[in-house]
Amino acid sequence: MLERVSSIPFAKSMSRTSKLMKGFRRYKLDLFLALPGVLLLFTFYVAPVVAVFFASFTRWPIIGDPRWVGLQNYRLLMTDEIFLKSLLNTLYYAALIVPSLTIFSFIMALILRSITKGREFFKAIFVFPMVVTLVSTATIWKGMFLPFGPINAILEFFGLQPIQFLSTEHVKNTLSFVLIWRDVGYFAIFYLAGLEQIPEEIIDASRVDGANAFQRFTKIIWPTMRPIVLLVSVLATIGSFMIFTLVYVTTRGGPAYASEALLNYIYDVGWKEFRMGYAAAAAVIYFVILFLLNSFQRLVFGREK
Amino acid sequence: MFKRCLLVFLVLVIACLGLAKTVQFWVTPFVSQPEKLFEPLLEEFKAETGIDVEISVISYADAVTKIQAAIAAGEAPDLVALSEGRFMPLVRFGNALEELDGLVSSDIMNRVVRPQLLDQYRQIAGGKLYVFPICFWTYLGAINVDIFEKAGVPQEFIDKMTDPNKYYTWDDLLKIGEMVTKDFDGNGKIDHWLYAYPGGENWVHPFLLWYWNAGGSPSLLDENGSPAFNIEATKKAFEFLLTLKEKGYMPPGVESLSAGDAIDMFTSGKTAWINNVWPSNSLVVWPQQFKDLNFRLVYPPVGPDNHRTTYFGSYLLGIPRQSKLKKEAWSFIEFLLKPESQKYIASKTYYSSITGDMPEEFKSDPRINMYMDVVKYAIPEPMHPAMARWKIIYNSETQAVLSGQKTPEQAAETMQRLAEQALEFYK
Repeated sequence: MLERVSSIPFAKSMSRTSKLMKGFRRYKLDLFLALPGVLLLFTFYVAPVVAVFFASFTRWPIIGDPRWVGLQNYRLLMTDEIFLKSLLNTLYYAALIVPSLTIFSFIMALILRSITKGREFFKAIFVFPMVVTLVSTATIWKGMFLPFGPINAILEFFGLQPIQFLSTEHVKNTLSFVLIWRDVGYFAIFYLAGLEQIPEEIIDASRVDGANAFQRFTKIIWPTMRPIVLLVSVLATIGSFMIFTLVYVTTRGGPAYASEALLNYIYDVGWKEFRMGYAAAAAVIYFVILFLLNSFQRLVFGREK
Repeated sequence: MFKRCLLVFLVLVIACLGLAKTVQFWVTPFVSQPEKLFEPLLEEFKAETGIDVEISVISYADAVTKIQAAIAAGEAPDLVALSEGRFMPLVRFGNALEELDGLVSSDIMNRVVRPQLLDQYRQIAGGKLYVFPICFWTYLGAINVDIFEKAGVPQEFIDKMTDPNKYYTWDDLLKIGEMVTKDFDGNGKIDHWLYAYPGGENWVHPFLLWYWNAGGSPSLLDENGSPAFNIEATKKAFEFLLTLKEKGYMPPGVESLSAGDAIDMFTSGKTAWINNVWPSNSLVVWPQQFKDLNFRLVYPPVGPDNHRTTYFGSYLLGIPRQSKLKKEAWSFIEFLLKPESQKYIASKTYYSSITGDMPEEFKSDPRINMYMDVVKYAIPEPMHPAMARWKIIYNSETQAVLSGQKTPEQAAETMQRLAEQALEFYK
């Protein structure tokens, strides 16, 4: 009879609850200690994301109460040409910055690894641009890229035509270059840490076994480095999507929206134009795109063989 | 004994909290160090009233954001100082500011030199006054005299630019442009240009100076409350700027220059004429920083429809509704409007007094008189919550014209469409 009772769903559920309680009693100190961290995480990460999601369905001028408008913000965004332009610009930045950073920092790491003397010195030099605040970096580079700035003066000195680095034609490439210049050394250190985990003996053994450079790369180096490639590409993607400061300081999104990034648009719409609900809807789209991109990267680089 | 001491201490703390009245005053940097400017005024005000005023400087870029956040958090300051465009959203949304009509005395109203300005503030805010100006400024133009002389620009043109009874036109600017844009030293490169359009930071004035000059609506709205960008004035302004660019009278890469870059180009002798010179620039900063710069202030040009216009900005004070010290905040505004305070502010900032109380020594300075004279042509910054988007729109469309992406007609059409879209939210 008892056996029959325990087989009904209610009894199963009771059994699960008692297991949960047992687990809770066993780990109550651990849970208690983790609680502040969980609360902080919830308050400052989870709750704002949920709040942004709900705000995206409202018309909310920050001061005053939000008004529910359903999907109106999303509908308007789909026909908002500045939003679409900024979205395309952001994808352009990502398409240029992410592969460049992933490849160049890897090459830089391989070069660094081959250096036996002064490697620490070069590591420090490569990380240096990351230490300087992006506002300072952007201000300095803006001065360099001006029509009559030092770079054009050098070009003219060598008899070359000056380049309008901040024109509609070149501005996205110029800003991408600054971000790549800033981050390439930093990511190279990530790769270097991975490369240093590969024992020299394995490389030597593969040489003895007759493996060529390509085979060594695909069979030994790449499998070891794949998690780091994933990390670098994810961080580079997030970094390229967060190009806000660079754009804000150098061009304010101009000329003619040519460098406007999605975050800059969200900031302007939300904080300067008091359209926080609309900005929240744009932020939700931004989040979804970033999430999909990162999921794709995990799919490509994160598969275990 | 201990309990009694504790009680006395608590009573003293509560009494002190109740007595200490500190007005929290948030200011934007309308001069380089506003806290230093206000320092003697705060001391005098405290001696007179016993009220402390504490100043916090917030950048123009973050001003609205910080005030919004403070209001949303219920921690608004007692007094805020901003420009027109930044104030209006605070007035429009959430009823965030205190009405001042009941507080302004008739004496103050009678002393205001531009009472129509107050009417304009009321117009956008449902007939009520929420902000009060303490000073204002206008833009003049300036020419590089050395370049003019080197290029052989006839004195007749300089007279037209500097004499209040004469005037120079857009055609005159084209003639001057032809004379000054040359390779003077024969090295195969142009040495200087006429003018650099400063649209890069999305400031309010760069396009409006041309738009108003071409006869554009001062409020940027037509009689139906719709954006009035797509009128002839927009196209005329674009066409003229494009002509300057196509004839080579503007430097290469001009579409990406900011206001600061354009000023640098003038002060470094790369452009011969500039149309957005602040009083403090021309009266204080340039003579000190650029001793070799031989410049002369000039009036704004006259546009194709005989409009002579310039930009007018003012420094406005408002009291957030959440303030617990509204009376004290208003008494500080009244203090700032006293003739002595007004003279002091004018003497330190070179901005014009809103009550007309200027220092004696200023009255004999021809440059200051020129600034005061040009006020009659000045149009205040359009006061609309959509201004934050509109200024991005019109600067971006101007850049699109200057970079050859759009024709003046296309840019004017886009401007109108985007301006209407932006207005939808505020209806």
